[in-house]
This record gives sequence, C-alpha cells and structure tokens, in this order.
Amino acid sequence: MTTGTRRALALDRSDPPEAAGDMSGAADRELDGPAGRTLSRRRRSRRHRLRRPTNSVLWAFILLTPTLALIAVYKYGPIGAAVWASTRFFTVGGQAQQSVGIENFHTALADGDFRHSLLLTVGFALVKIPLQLGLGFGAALLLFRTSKVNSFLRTIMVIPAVTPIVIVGIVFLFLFDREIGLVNTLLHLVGVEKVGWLTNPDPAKVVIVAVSVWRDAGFTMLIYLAGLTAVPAEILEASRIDGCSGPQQVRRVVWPLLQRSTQLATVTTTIGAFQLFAPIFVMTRGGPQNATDVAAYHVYTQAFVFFNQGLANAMALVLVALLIVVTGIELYLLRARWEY
Amino acid sequence: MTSTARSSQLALRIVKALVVLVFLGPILLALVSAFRPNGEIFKYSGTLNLHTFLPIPGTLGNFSAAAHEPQFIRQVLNTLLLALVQSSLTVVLALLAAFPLARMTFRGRGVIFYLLIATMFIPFEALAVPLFLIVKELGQLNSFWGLLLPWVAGPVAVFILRQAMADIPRSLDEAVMVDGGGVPRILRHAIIPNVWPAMVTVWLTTFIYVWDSFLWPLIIMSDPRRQLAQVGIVNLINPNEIDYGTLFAMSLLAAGPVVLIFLLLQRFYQQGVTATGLK
Repeated sequence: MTTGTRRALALDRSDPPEAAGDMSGAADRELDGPAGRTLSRRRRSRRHRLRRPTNSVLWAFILLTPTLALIAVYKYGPIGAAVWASTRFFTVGGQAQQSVGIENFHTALADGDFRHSLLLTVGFALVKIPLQLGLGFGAALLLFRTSKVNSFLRTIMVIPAVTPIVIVGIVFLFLFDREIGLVNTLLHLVGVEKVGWLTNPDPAKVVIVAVSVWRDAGFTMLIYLAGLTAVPAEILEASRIDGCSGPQQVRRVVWPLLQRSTQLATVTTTIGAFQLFAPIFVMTRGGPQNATDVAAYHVYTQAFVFFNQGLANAMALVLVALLIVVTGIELYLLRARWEY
Repeated sequence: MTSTARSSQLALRIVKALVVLVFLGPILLALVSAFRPNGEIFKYSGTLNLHTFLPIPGTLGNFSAAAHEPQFIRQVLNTLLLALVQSSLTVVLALLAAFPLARMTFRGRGVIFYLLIATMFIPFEALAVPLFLIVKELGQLNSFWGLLLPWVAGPVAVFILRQAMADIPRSLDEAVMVDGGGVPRILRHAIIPNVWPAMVTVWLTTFIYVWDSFLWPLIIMSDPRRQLAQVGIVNLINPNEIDYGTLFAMSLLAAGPVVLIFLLLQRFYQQGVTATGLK
C-alpha cells in the first residue's frame, strides 16, 4: 500500500465510539486542557497513526476472510437454498425438478398435521417459558448469596444443561418407564395407578415438557444470577428503609429490575423450544398419535423419512418466519423500561 | 422472632435439599445403574428399597458390553476429536475476525459486523434441511468436514471476543507498534494476554455445544465408523427391549468427558452466559 493511501486512511479515520472502560480514550479527554497542549498532542498522535498497522485494509481483509467466507457459505447459503428448494419438487433420490412456484407453501399450510405441529410447538413454548423462568428466577434468588453450599447447588443445577441432550433423554426414558420407572414407583407410594407416560398422548406431552424444563432451568438461573449481581445494592437498601418486606421487595423491586434478564431468558427459551428435536427423537418419535410431533421433528420426517425435500424446505421457512414473529412480539412486550 | 427465623431457615434447607434431589437425583440414578446387572435393574427398579438406589453387588459387565459394541469406542473418540478441533479452531478464527472489528478502522466495518451478528439470531437447527442441501452440493456429506465447517465460524464467538478486546486500552497496541511490531505481534503481546479468559469461555462453550450436537450428525453421517457417540447410542435403543444397563454405561462414557471439562472450567461457562446470554 502506498503512503498516500495510508495518509488518506489516517486522515479519514474518525475515531469510532470507544467502549466504556477504554483507558486511552479517557486519557485523551483528560489531556484536553489548555488549547496549546491539545493541539500538540493531536499532531503527535496523527504522526503515530501514519505508521499504524491497524489502519491496513490488507490486514483487515486477511483476518476477516476465513470467517466471512464460512459465514457466507454456511449461514447465508442455507437461507438462499431454502428459498430455492421450497419452490421445487424433488425426486426421492434428491434430484431437484423444475420450479412449481409456491405450491409447496400451499401444501404445507393446507396440511393439517403440519398446522398441528406448529400449534404444538407454540403451545409447548407457552408452557415451558413460565415454568422455566419461574424455576430459574426462584433458584437464582435461593442461591444468590455466596456460600459453599450455594455454589455447589448452582453447579448441580447447571450440570443437566451441559449433559448431552440425548443422554438426558435416555435418563428420562428410564425414570418414566411404565414398569420400572422411579416416577411410577413413587406415585405408587401415594396410591396412584401406573401411568403409561410415553404411550398415552397427554402424559407424553408432560414428559417432554418436564425433560426440557429440567434440562434448561439451570441455564435460566445463570441469566438471572448475572442480572441480580448487576442490581445496585443501594436500591435494595432504599426499598428496605421504605418498609418493603422480603416478598414485596422481590415482587415490586427485584423482578421489575430484572426485565432485561427476563427478556433474554424468554427469547432464548423460545428459540430453544422451536428447535426441540433430540428428546422427541429419543423418547417418542413424535407419538403417541402425533401428540409430540413438534414442528422441528415434523420437518425432519418430511425431509429425511419421506424425502419431500421441497415441502420440508417450505415448512422450515414457515417455521423460521413464525419464530421471528414470536420473538419479535416478545422483544416488544418485554422491552426494557428501566435503566439503572 | 427467632422461632420464625429458625423455621424459615428450615424451609430454605428443605427447598435446597429438593433442588439436590430433583436435579442431581436422576443423574446419580443413571450413574449407579451403569454398575448394576440388567437383571437387578428390572428386578428392583419398580420397588423402593436399598437395591433401587445402590448397585449391590456391582458389576462392570455393562462397560465391557459397551466396549464390545462394534463402533462405540471409536465414536466417542470421533466426538472428542471433533470437539477439540472445532472449539480450538473456533477460538482462532474468532480471535482473528474480532481484532479488525474491534481495533482497526476500514470502510465497511459496520456492515460486516452487522452481517456477522445478524446470523446469531437465525435458528440454524431449524434450517438444517437447506443446510443439508448446501453440504451435499459441496460433496461434504458423510465426512469430517461436513460436521466441522458449517459450525466452525461462530458469530457468538466473534461477538464475545470483540467485546473483550474493546476493553483493552489502545495504548497497548501503540506500545507494541512503537517497538516496530505489526498486527501479529499486537495480537501476541497486547491482545491474547488480555483476552484469554474470553478465549477459554469461547473454547468451553463450543466444546459443550459440539458434544451436545445430535440432529446434524444424524442427518449427514451415514457411516457408523465416522458417526458421533450421541447418535451411535440412540441407534442402539431397541424400543421393544431397552438394555438400560449397557445404555447407562455408554452414556457415562459419552457424557463423562464433557461434564468433567465443564466442572474444571465452570467459572468461564458462567462468564459466557453473562456476556451474551447464549449457550
């Protein structure tokens, strides 16, 4: 690169907004005292910038290319591929045929089973979110104080979240087994008849919700713990002086202040709920009687069991669009109204 | 007053005991059952006594059965290899990409950053079907590359490292430059010594993510010798006669490494959640 372009770049450079905590920016401002000193400092730093390798476009290009190339192919590629494939029929061998326009979308939306799977997915999210946020928030309050016992309990709650989901599915398969499962054994103690948890539609739904809440509750707890740490102690102190009792404080002060955490937890839980696949595959395969045939599983079977690639791509796009709408609504409803 | 304080203390203890029971109980039960002969599992599991919870007498038979499953050990090693390669490569790629985005000035930086970050919000598991078409077109089905390449460039990783770099004083870069150092030396002497906690966070979360992956290897990998452990285990479930003893022994082998690594590095995991709220 010539010195000329380097100079142009250096002069063109308007300082980007520095993140809080950037010490050099703070130092600059402190030195902005008497006019003369500021001027001489500016001149000196400009001379510095002429030699800065951090103004080299070549270096930026070299460093960014691998990531950008992979993102372009594997992140933006599938979006394009989905749009293209959703307008085609495919042979069972996977060969694309000529365009059929939006017929696949017609078929998808007219398919009662697909509509059922979308409703099931939304319903699943609606049940999972309050349960998981309640558990996560409760656990965060319970374990917020630093102590040996509490950090041990925090670890215990997070272990399910890092255990491979397939293994969690196998463990719950055992727990909810009709004959040898611990759940039925415990229920038997209180006089409840054996339940065929995975062979009846409604109990199967309960099991799927239970597995997924059990697994992700610790993760939600971590989000709330991070939020709690950020709540200034003075606010809690002030509310206590104003006569707030414990439960009141939680409900009227802490919970509203954790709006951002709630927003984050809701959105990540929703995205997770829309992608629920592995527990279904391990435990129910969409059954009994389609009771757990959630959208992600339905799309999978269309693509890789029935080999309707075109239809499956149309369904995947509908699912993603629905997810974007739902998370958009959530972000709007839970928008932060407080700054602290 | 003291009596209510004492009873609320007691209530808290009971709730905490319940947390242990509900969240650790199922895992312990599975762990213990890995050491029980299948006959005992079926004999005692429907009842409540000491045998329900303790493997007396214990056996290692389930583990030898697991080891004798034709491809299982190999599949665990495949998972380990992929997790190590992918998480390390993710850290390197993200470190390189985050540097210009955090500390260099060039035209288009903002656009590039937003194009990258936007992909954080697209649910890619839901787009596995079209991603399958891309990978098939590139001839990467049934290969290590097909498992690795689609996920190795992580927008979340770039985001975390960029945030970490923004907190380092720029005077450090300048100090290196005054000594005549270029970008590689800035990275080595000014950036990496300061962002290594974020690098460990990215490494760990990626490692856990790879170990958890199921749908993607299930659809692109048909050769059992190259398959990952999680898919291998599920393929061995015979719904008519579930061999829980062997399944739990395999589960222990297939989940043990990732849980151990999490336990060793867990404070970095919490930092990852705090930084983005994403797993």
